[in-house]
Amino acid sequence: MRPYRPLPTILVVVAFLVAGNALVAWMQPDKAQPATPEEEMWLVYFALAHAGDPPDALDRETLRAALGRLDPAVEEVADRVSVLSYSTNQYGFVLEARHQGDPRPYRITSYGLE
Amino acid sequence: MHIGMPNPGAANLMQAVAAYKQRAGARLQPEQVQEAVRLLKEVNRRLPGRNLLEASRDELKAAGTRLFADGEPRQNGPFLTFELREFFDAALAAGIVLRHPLTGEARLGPTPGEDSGVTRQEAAQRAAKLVAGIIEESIQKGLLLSPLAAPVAEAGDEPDTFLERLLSGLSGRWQLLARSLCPVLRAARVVVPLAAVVISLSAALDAGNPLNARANSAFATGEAVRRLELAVNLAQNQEWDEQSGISSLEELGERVGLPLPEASEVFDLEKIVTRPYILYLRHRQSGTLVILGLERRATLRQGTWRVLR
Repeated sequence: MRPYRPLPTILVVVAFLVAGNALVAWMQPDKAQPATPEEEMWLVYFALAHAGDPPDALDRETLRAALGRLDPAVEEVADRVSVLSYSTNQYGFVLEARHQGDPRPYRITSYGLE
Repeated sequence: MHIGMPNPGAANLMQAVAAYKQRAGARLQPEQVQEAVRLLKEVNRRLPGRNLLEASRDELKAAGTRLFADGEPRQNGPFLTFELREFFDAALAAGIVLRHPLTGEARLGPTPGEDSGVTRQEAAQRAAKLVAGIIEESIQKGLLLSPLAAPVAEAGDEPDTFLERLLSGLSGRWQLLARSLCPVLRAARVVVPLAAVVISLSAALDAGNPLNARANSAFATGEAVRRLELAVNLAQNQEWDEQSGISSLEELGERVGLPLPEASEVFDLEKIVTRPYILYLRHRQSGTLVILGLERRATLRQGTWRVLR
């Protein structure tokens, strides 16, 4: 029976950590990947929800301002969204909009994308 | 197991020296051979085990360094290096060592036409030990970081019928593979530690992104996000009006009955929306805006928007 040597064990642990880190790094979402149209519509939702009380009317500039309150760098998302209709009710708001990268209309309420 | 492990049946230092003298005699003058043997003896005297055949490459280098530090003229350095290599070439060719410690060249069995009296099983056992030694040596030098390698190396001196069976069929290919992989292993010696540093740095830098909190090592952030998501779920079940006036995460924790000390250290509460319940948080470390809703988690960082379902 050979005497126990700690070095291989230590190296295996180190290798495990390195491999684990590599695996985690590989599993990270691609940082360069742009947001999809649906994700940008979620951004619109969270920007409108952030205001608390919904605005009485919604046009591109109002939307741009709402986005800018989250982060000025995302104001340009307003340029890619066309407001089809907008209304408020006792539960909040209902927005129908289209994203220029996606032909289907989106319906956004106070509870999210439907 | 050292690289230059002697063949248990035939190896000894005197035999190796004799084989070397015979080989060197064909190309050197007798006095040059004597000088080379003198240098080899001097190196041998400075080895820990006092046996060239059991020395590793590092031990040989250290012994050589000590020899020149003790006053041996430096101009003999290239001569010694070359003749040391020749010495192991001769020992390898004679079957006295199984692996050349300087070049890594391995010899797994008798050369064609040579009758060594070694059975196939014995050759396989030697091959198993040799490969285990190579793996262990590679691990110790940081060349090989496979999780499988260490257990194989640890089991190297134990009878391993599977490994023996495998190597008895593939020994020639293993030898070819070991030779062909030499440059790769040399490159790996640099690349592996470098990659480890780069990956660790990358992971450390990315640890600030709360969206990745669950996967990366930023345990505190991950735990905070997990508890905040739980708090959002609890808050949904309470009356919305009860949530008005909350200005901090500690206060939120008290309202929902879930202490949030970790979250308070990691996040600042920017805003709470209650219809439905959404938390807008600022991650202190990275400045990222983190949005926690009932079914969505999202981050906004320098214009980069990510949504996690």
